[in-house]
Amino acid sequence: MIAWSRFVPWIVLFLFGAFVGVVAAPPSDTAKMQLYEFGKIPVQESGRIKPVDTLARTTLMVISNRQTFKDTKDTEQPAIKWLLDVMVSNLQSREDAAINYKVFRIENIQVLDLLGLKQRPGSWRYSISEMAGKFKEFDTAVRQALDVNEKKRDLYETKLLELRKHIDEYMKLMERLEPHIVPPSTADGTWQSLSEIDERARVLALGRMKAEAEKKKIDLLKQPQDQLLGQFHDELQKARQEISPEAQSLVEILDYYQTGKADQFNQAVADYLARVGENPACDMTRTSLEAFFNHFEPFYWSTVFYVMVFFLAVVGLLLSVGWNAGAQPLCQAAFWLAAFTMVLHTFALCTRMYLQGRPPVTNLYSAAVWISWGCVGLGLTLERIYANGIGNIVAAVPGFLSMFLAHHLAGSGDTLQMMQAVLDTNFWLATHVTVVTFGYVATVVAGFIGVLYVLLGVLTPALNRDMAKVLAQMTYGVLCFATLLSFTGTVLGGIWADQSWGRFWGWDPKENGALIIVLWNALTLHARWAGIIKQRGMAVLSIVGIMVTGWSFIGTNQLGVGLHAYGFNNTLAMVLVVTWGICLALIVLGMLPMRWWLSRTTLTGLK
Amino acid sequence: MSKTAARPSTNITAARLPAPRTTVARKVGPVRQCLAVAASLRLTVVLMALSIVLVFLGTLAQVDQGIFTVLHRYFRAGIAWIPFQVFVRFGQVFFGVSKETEWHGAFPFPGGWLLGGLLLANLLAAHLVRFRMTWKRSGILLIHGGLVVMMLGELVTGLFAVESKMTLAIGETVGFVDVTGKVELAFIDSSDGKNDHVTVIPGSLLREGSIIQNEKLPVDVDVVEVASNSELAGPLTESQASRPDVYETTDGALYAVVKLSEASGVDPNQREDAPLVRVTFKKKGTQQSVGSYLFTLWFYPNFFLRQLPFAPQQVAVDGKTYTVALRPQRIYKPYEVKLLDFKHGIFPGTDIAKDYTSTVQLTDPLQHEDRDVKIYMNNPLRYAGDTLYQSGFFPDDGGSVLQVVRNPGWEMPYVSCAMVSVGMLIHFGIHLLGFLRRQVRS
Repeated sequence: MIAWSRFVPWIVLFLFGAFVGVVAAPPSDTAKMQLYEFGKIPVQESGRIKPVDTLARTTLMVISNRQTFKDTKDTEQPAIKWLLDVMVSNLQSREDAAINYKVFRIENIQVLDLLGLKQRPGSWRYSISEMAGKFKEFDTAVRQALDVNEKKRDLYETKLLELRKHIDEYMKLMERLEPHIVPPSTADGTWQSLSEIDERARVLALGRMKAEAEKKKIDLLKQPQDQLLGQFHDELQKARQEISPEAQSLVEILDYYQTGKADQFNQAVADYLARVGENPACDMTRTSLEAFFNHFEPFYWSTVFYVMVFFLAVVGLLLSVGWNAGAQPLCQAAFWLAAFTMVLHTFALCTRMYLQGRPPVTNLYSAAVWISWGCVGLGLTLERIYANGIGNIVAAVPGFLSMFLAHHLAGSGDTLQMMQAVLDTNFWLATHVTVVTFGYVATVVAGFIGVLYVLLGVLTPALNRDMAKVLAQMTYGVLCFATLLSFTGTVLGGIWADQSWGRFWGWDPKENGALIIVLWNALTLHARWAGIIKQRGMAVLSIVGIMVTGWSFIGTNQLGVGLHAYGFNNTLAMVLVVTWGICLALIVLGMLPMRWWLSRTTLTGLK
Repeated sequence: MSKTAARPSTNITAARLPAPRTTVARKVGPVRQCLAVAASLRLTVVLMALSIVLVFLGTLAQVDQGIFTVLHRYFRAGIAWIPFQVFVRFGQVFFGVSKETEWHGAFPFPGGWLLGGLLLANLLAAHLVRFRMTWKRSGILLIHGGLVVMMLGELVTGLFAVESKMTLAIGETVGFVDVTGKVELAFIDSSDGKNDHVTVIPGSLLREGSIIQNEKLPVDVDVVEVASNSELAGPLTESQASRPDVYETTDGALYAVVKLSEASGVDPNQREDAPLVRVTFKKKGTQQSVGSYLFTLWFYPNFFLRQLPFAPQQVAVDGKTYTVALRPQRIYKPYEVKLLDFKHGIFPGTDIAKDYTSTVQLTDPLQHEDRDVKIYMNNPLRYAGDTLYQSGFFPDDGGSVLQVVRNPGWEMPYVSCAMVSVGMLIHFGIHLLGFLRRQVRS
């Protein structure tokens, strides 16, 4: 081995470390408006205090299915800019930028026809101003759709009402009815929107002007309009300041933004943040951290890095001659990069836990993130034990796929949302949910090693008896682990249910899904002990384990959703069906007679 | 290092295999031979596979049927009759099969009691045949012991557990519970002035076409129609009031009772079924009708959390007036519960519930029990073999619903969980240590 190749892992680590440093650094261009700083401003929505940046991202995600948008010059811009532009726009003035932003994603052809819009394949995004001409027809159609019973609506009606909801969201922002951005002065007070404050301020200001006029015996209606408006404007500001100084500052910030005064904007935002930092209703540490978290996107970068790990690991395996891949520099680089990414991943998980004040798994999204973390951990452990380069792939592929799935599960909306009181017990969340998802992890990882066994054996001549044995050992070990965790996790779930409503086991779809996983793992192990299956059988059965896990994790939910959703139009169901298809193909491949395997010569004698 | 891993080491799987079957067969008679078959691991694998299929089908069945129906037809049954329609449902959800497709007919499949029993027998036989008390097998023994406890626990639960609800408005004192999923038709005679005399017909007797006669009943009951679920449509406008089965609340609003199919077990917004029964009362021993009545759980105040007040339905026979009601099976308790206060918190800006708490006064004169207790999520009250959980609340927060469960086997899963988990840790731990030791040595 060439001497310098020892440094390959270090070089790779250094490069990626530097890269993370660059993306994590908050943007700080003082000449321009610091939108990032504005994004830290706390708002209250869906029961929690969050930075306005999160609100901008989730709202844009709902409307547009993306967290960024393209402005009128076709440049990509952050969500917070969109929010600001919407908040300073109105429907009357055609020059305002926001109404021309193509952000509304409309894919349904019937809805597009109704609005007189051309199909825009690829983007499918439209602006308010494009739709404005057909609002009347739209309204009529919406009213008709609303008359249809919720369960009987067809795809067109559902999509139509969805769009209406999106337009409502947009209007609320534009009229500043949302977000609830004005903090109360006490910790348990009510957050208000700028529009609510202005409503009160207007009444107050008008009252004062009238009282003043009466005192001075002037007829207001006879005053010149300019003077009157100017006076009202001053009174309104004063009134707003009295009701809530924060609201006045926010309006000023928005005005500076609208008029393009960058210096004043930045100063005003800094002052505002310093001020709310002392407000007991705001938790600026959390809010700032969340804004940083949004900007940094550690989950996203982890996903990307797992792909890199995969490529490094595969190239390393291909370059390694014989069966000593663990020492190959690229494999080592893959290992250390995976470890580094896992640190990043862990940081992201911990930040999430801190922000939400809950254990890591609170919804499907976070479960997928957690599963990914577990896969990587398990893969790296296997690599530490066997040092054969396979562990890296076991870490990277399921790790990536699960993160990818998480990204889709996040769908639209806030991934940190509040939870129903039923789930309001950190102890059980921390034990049952984390353990049972790790059980799923291990089942999937065992299946993935099975996949490697089949692929290497059938499609390459590389699988020899030693390697086959090691792969089988790995599958077996991980399956034992999977059985332990899925059983314990499932039973802990039962105990939680018993603690909550006195029914240890209710045979509901989700519970049944978990039970099937436990039974399947137990079946595979018993079949091995009974001698019914050998290495190959175990590989094939463990692939079925992936299908079973998919059923439990996604499928059982689809049974309820699928019936009431509009036919076969569901991404998750699709993901599951595709997964099943791939697994079935692999199972068929694994059951091909040995004489068709490319590794047949090296595997002679095995069944 | 990897080279040496190739050395044929002790086969970890072979070590755990039972003694080769041929040696058993040669030495022993037919009884032992049968036992060996009953104890075989192959049988275990087959039974597990069948169990998986049963659980899967029982999940699919919940698309059309309620969880209690599936429970009794699949998991707490010897033989389950599985309709072919469940496969259509599977296809509809995942493979875009047309919504109109229908397959008729059903096929038999071993049910939960049968499979559970066979698995239990297989397990016991296996330990009978292969029992050895060694460190290496202690984990297996614990695991399997735990599984036996769990299966027996499910048996005890299936046979003896009773789930019920106690509905209380603030300030109200209640000494009975409404059993979940079981109804009865009650005839209440209040003419005595002091005590109510109640005669009930259990729901299981209310079958379409049957005639119920009993000396304790004031009338003969001719059951005309039975439905497992119903809903209230309304409030109706004047013009809609001509619909059949319209009833008026005491506030003058009109509602129609409509038959409904059973709520699906997978429906995320399911509520409890509200059975409906239509009867004709006849003078005892004659064909003379006293009147036709429609009863539904919707008229039972607790069912709809006291939301719609319907006047009690009354029947006059031989100068006596009886109040008749379809209600959940009622069990009287030796203790009484008074709801002192109910608190319901939400997350600001949402309607997501944050917590709910009932403060109750528990009194049991025989046991000299009188204390105030707070019941909230995950903090139930255990008393006299019952466990009372916070379960629901009135829409206006004016009252609370407690789930009352009586399950003599409730502790068994806890014991089982501990046994199996420790067993697995021991068993897999021993093997992991052995494996790591071999790795280090090589």
